[in-house]
Amino acid sequence: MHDHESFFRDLRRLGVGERLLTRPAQLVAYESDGLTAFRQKPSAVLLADNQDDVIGAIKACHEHHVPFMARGSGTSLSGGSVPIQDGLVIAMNRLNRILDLDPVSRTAVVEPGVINLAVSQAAAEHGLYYAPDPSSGPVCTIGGNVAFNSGGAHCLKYGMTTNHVTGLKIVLPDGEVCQLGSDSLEGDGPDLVGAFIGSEGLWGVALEVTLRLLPKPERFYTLQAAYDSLEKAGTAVAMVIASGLLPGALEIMDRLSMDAAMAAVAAEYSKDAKAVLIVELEGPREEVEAEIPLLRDVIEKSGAYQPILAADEEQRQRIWTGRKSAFSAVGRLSPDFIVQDGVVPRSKLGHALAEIDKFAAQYQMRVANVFHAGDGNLHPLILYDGRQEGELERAEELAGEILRLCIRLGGSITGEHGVGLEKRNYMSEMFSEVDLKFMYQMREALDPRQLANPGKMLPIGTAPALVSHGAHPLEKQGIVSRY
Amino acid sequence: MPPSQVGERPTPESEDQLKELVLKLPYVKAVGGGSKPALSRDATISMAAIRGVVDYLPEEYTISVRAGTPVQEVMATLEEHGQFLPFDPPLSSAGATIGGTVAAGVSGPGRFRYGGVRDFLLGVTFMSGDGRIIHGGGKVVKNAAGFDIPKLMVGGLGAWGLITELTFKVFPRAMETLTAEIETASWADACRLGHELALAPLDLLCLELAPPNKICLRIGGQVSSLQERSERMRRSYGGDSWKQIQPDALMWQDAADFAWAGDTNALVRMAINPKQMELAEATVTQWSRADEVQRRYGVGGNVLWMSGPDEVLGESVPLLVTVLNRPALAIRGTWDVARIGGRPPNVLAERLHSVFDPQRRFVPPKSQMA
Repeated sequence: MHDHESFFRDLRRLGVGERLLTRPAQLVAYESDGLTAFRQKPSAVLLADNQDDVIGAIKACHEHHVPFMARGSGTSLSGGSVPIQDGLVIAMNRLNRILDLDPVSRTAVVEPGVINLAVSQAAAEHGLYYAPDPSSGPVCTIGGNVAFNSGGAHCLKYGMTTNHVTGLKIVLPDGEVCQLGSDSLEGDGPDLVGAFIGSEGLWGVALEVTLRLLPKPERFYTLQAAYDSLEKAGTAVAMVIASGLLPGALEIMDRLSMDAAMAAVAAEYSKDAKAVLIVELEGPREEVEAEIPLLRDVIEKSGAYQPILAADEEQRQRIWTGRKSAFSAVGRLSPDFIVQDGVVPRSKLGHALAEIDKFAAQYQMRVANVFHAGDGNLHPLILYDGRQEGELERAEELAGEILRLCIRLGGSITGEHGVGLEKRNYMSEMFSEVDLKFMYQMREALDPRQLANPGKMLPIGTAPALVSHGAHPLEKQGIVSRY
Repeated sequence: MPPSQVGERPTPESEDQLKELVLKLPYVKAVGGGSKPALSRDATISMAAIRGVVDYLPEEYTISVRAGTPVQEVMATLEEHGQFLPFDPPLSSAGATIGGTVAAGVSGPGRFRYGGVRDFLLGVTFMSGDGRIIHGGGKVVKNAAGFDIPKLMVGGLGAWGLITELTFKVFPRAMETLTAEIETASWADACRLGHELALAPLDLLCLELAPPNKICLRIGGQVSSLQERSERMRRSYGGDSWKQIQPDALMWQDAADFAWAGDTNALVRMAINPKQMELAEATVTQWSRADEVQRRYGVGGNVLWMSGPDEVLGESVPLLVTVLNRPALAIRGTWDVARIGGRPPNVLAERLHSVFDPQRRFVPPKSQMA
């Protein structure tokens, strides 16, 4: 246990003044993130103003053995930014400058607190945009995207955050600063930039991020088709893929997600549809025009009805608003929910959805499905009422069944939300003991004191427990407490 | 494993044999097809027998192959289903293997549109310096679980592990492609036009610049759209010099094989920023034997490939490295170290490397870590 007062004294020597929050009332807003089921009190929050604050704070943490975690907008859906008990939260939101935006090299150098969507907005005057588009794009930060290798609806064609970062300035868990990569698309030497991305804060904190920008496609063609079964929508995805088309996005929503989106943002879906498929073609206008008949042919043969075509950008945005609001919209249907993020091979989507249906019936819980069908990335939303005795535990058990299903089918426990707090106990089911031990050793080499976001991705100390029954394992370990 | 003869490298056929060698040899360096001799001349193990496609799932856009598999074999397998490796792995005709491509971290012309070898690598199996078989990444197109270990194999020059198996994301090939060349009045004009083309929403698959004044671009898509797209580009950018080259597959295969560079010449690669193309040319053209040095600026000006006689490049590349402040990587030719002007490894690399190769078996004696 560290001596908080001498730690705080050292922090105050950095000249952070009132920006060091230590009063309980000030800390409440930082207790939780997008995974609202868990909350934890930090010992303090530092509102960092600049890179020196971040580096200085991390050095102080190292000296005083205080665990720390950098936090952007706190939108993590895996509990990645739930504070560490008695630890320091370094709030990065004020490091929000776009330092450089260069249309010739098609790169932007940004601070980690810059909002994802703000990059595309700034790049728009050059006809450029930043491709990764998580649903939380209007609020989430680039620093968080880097830490968790965030995805979005357009990953099949464009990849995730890691595919759009060429350079990083980082501070390691002991306060050492490193420059990785450069402003060239091509790398030199081992790809340390790529390795850092998705390390969930365990390797330190990004201070500057060089992003790759792409020319905004000239023409979009966004189609939303209704189906009388989820299975048919899934088959339609396979048919689109088999046709040789490479759409920018391929998304499916089930009935429950549609109901939620209708309630939240007045999205339009046919009343009796069991699933909708959203397909987006994009590219030069002649190309898209040539692809449209191919796509329409496939969609027609797939048994779709009531296809809605976005005639203009406004209609396109309406389709996407419905889709992207689905997570938060589910809040209208249920007081609480857990979002899962497993991946299955695309050809096993139908099977996976049928299994999830069975689990839902077995556990007597509602599960809404909205997912990136193009890359097999499921987002089952498990609805529960935390005020009802035992519901959260049941929801978590159900979530665990889904994760194991993804592993059994040869997929992954997370496509884009990261392992964070909630899925770390499933790492040992996805990775062998040897592989997991190797990751522990990597962390050990970089952070022997285990101060950088400990407890996320890799369980602290020994190998993770194999199963979680009853109370959440993190609760049993006294690491987090519940609402 | 076949008995090794004098001057011949052992060619392990199994993980057990690999392990035996890794733990026995003081220095472990693998060679695949030997297409990048500057990177493999000191190799102590041949990966030729760790070969073959392990799993190919066209409907999943994924393929898993053993490291010693020739790129050509992978390409042919994918071609049967109309798919390809979008980063156009270089030197496939010279026998490059998939493992060597990853270790060298090099990509070909197609890197411009969808990304390089780093962007399509999903998973890796490798042997660490202490003889453990480690699996990193995954086998599905999207995966964010655990540390992204596969990335450290890209460009690691073998110093981070002995790669045995790799999983890639693949894409469907465009129905049809079309290639055009544009000539400009000067190199400065070529650079300007190159920047303009790269910035425009043209969906170019490849964009390369060749001094003194040529631009080469490739588009792909539906048969019915290409001529129209090409015509619009000709009107907007090409003018009189616009020259369409079709069919174009051979031309781009040549580009990925560096057919423009003489077989006996040295070959180096520099990752640069597109804004440096003018400075690079201004520097190179001042060299006394500049006419013996061929250059190609690939990936819209993000990579410079240079070829020329050993002694000319040997003397001039270090100078260019200083002017551009970018390291160079030797691919062919005689060099003391493959990474010319490389900075010493930073602390992140050093600390991580101690896990991958605790006894430093993969690090060339006397040289710096890759």
